[in-house]
Amino acid sequence: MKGPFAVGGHVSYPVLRIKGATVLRGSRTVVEDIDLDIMCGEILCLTGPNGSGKSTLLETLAGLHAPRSGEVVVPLPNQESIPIRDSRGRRTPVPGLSIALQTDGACLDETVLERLKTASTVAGKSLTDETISAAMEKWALSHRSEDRLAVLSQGLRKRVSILAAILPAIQSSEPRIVLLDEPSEGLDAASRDLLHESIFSLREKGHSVVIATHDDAIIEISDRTVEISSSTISLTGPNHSVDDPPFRDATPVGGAISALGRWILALEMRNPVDTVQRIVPALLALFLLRSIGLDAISDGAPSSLAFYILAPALIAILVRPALIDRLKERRSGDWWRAHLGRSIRPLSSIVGSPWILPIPLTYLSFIVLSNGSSDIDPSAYAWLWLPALSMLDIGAAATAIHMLVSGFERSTAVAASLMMAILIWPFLLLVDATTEILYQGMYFDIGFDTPLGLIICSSLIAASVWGAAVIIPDE
Amino acid sequence: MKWMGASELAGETHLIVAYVILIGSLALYGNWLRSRYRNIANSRASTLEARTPHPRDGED
Amino acid sequence: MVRIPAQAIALLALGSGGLVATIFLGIMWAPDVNPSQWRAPAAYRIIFLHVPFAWTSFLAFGMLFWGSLGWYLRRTERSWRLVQSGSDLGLLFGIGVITSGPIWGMAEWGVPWDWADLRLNTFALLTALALFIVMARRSQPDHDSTRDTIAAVGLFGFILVPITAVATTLYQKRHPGVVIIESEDSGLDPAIRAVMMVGFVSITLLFIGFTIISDKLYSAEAEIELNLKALDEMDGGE
Repeated sequence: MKGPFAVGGHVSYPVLRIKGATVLRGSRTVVEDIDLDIMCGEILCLTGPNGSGKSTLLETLAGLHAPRSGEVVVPLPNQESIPIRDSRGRRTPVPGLSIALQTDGACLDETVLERLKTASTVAGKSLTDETISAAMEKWALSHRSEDRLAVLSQGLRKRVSILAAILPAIQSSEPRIVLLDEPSEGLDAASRDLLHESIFSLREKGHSVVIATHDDAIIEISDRTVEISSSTISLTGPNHSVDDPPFRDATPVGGAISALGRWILALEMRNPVDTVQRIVPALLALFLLRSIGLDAISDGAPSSLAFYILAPALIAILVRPALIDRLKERRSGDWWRAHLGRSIRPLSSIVGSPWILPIPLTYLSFIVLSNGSSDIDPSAYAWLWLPALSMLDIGAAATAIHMLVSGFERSTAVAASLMMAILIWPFLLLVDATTEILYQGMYFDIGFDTPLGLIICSSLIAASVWGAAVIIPDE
Repeated sequence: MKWMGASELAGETHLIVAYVILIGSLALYGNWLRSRYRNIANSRASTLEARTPHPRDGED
Repeated sequence: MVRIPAQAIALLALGSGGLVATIFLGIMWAPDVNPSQWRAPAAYRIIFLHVPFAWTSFLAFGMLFWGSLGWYLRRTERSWRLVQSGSDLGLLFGIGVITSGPIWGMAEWGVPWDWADLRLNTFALLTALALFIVMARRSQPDHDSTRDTIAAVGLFGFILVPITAVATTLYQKRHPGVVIIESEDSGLDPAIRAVMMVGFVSITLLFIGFTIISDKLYSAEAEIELNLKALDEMDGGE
């Protein structure tokens, strides 16, 4: 029996393991029934011609693709393991992971500094501004720290994406896994030297670096290479077997979750596309209603006024969220999924809903449309915020549905609104609740006919729809 | 005829429209099946033997 | 080569014949309803096709659900063919239901839609689901990942059915006066029931015939696609 495998002076153990995995991309089998261990403190290169599946294999290690069969696990002592991704739908983010995708993996509205800070927080390391500044200095990015990625050249963006992946590891004393997809591509010679130096020092610190690359200089400094061709892999480098690897806990993702929330809000505040594209149709509808005159279109029933008061907010919350496009841009969604796993959809459908719009829109509609109607209870305006608040549940459900149906390759070609129809009922219940509030005033009994009861029912239905839309994994 | 009468005209129109839609949709679907059948019969690839057995053959 | 079973053709022929008979009987033979009680007495005859269409769309949606579940859990080709045929036929018969129903509703009650009617709204929801799936199948490349997403959306759509049931029940509590459009209740004239049975049988035969043919066609198209992919490789492409 061989002893523990020694790399660079450290005793090594497998930090990530692919077992019997078959991975498809589209209809093509990239690899079939392969086994591969990623050892602690090694540089492993994935090589092969263009289109052979290096990126796919790298992303499978990060848990981004479900293998058709087999699994990706973090091995633990006593034959146990943490399943990262298997064919049965189990999914956990890889502990201690950083990844630089071949594209930027970032929304281009982020600034350089923001990107590095977010990447570090998501990786579980809160770095000081000084530390980040020093790193930016070394990588010749300081002069661009406040610029958005959109204005940078491709080479500069590549530097940012690589630095975002290696910075948390450089600052970390615990072993981490760094995955780099074609890092040399688009870099100038000086940056490439810096890249090689960084990869080497990562290994010296005991981190694992897996690189999909054509760069001979990187292949030369690697400990092992994996050549991919015809759905199989061939390993070159020392073989190993290990007994009793040290136990490693999965990194808690709490920091990553709040980082996602801040990321979503920061991008929207910088470029309020989402808010604008929701407000415009809502306001158009409202002012059209006002100019046509409600008498001309309503049947005079009490619920009509309530319907028209809530309608602009409904229009606003049904609009397709800009967040979906942000997550698709440069595969930033895939970067987040690598760190958050499946929790991205429930989280982003809540944070990405239009929180600030329903209440102001409802009050605006009330002011514009109620026209001092004498039937309306004078205290009604003080309680309109309650049904408007419940519209947020409908908003979260609508966002979740949009995200569910945007999972297609060609998501521009599908009609999400077909699945929105279910949200009509929670809306109708809120219309009933608003009618009660408008004409009877607010009261706090709970029953099927009371404002509170109707609002609770509406929220429960919307929450069920939200639950159904986030719980069904589609990948 | 059982239903000639001015008072029934509104219902009659609705009846005709509904039946046209229902029968028409069945006819359109049948026609679509027929054109697919013709496409398959005329397809060059249908005269070749399958090169690879379907990966999921035998699973049904 | 695709071979359409003779039984399927026979079923289509019988079903079509029965359909013609249903229409004939429905218009010529079925008794009038009392004009003083009905606003548009002639329009009631819509039910002779509307109700059988509802029944077959129920079968088609069941096929879609079963196929979605089968693909989601085990990824078999047969499940996928159920999804394909189920969504096509669900769309076909579902559209029939949600157009003929409101047409009758407009004629008889002046109201095309009833938010409190469980069946009407469930059919609308499932028809929207079927339309979504048909459109997605046509617009997306046919990979397993696409099928996974479609199956997931399919299952999502079906989870919405009990949610719709709760929602319409709650809505009906508040709006009991709203008319239920589908009121084929008990106490129907036996002649009317007889014509409806003919309609049921005819449309069901058509449905079965369509299903068999659709399944065979999708199977043949899948085989052709495999052959085309093999040709791609021979030409050096990938």
